[in-house]
Amino acid sequence: MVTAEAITRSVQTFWAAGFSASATVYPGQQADTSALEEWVELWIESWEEAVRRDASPHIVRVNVTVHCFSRSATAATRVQELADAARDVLARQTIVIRDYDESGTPVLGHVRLREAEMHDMTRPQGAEHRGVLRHAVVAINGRAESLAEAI
Amino acid sequence: MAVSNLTRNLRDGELRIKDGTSGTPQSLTVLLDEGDLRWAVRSNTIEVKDRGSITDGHTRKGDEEPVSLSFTVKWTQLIGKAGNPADPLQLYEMLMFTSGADVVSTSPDGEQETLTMEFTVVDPAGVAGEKITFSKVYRESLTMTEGDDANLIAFSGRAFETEPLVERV
Repeated sequence: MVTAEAITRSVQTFWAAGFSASATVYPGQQADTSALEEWVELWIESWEEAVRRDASPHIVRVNVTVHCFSRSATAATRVQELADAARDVLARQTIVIRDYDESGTPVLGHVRLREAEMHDMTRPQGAEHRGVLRHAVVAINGRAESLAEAI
Repeated sequence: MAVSNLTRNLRDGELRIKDGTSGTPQSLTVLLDEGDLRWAVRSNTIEVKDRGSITDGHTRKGDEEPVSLSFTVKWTQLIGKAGNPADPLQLYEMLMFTSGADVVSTSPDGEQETLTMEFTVVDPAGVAGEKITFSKVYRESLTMTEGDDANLIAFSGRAFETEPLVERV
């Protein structure tokens, strides 16, 4: 069974190994971003288990989002650069899901991420931040499958 | 109570395919199927009307018809054992009787290649599960389809019998 925890840790590990464009803040992590010029937040926002037979492998549809923030006053498109970098790391990737609680971190399955969808969220920001904090979101749907063993 | 009236759905079913290997048949449980197994018991009736009148006419049994059945499965590996004898048998090569997979027909030599399919439906109330056995199932078509979410393998065939065997398990 591919658990939400295993999917999350596996995606975060994959992300940490591949993304170096800026600092990453993970859910649950407390970070003082007031001093940061830019950062990204990696979220797995939903896990939806697909209908299946009792004997069939687990299939979980996941939604991964990366929120990119930039305060750069000199590079107006920096937030788009961060979004592109995030997309390059995650889009169309197949990520191994491992059980990091077990010795040897055995493989539980894989998550296949699809093409990315990007949204510029800068405008909804409060007027006091407009032109200062830019915010872009990269959203990628994926499908996690546990290993299917022949019976 | 020996029966339960709790509705069954695709979560309760399991499709298993067996070949005709003597002793211990090769078999595999169909994983990642779409839960759309469908079969139809068909019958022919000869209507004999009396000068066009149904009221005065009668019916007779017509020719027997085999059971038609179909199901769809998400496409994973097509060739396993046929590619390497150490690899597990895969659905595609079993349904196709691919050379090297050593799949044996359940019908005698010279007849069409057939398999046995067993569809077990567990009673979610735990009272009375049932197994539906289709014998001498032959392939009419195997349709491979690409898709965004998953590629699919669709089997369509017939069981050369008038009805499947339904038994309590």
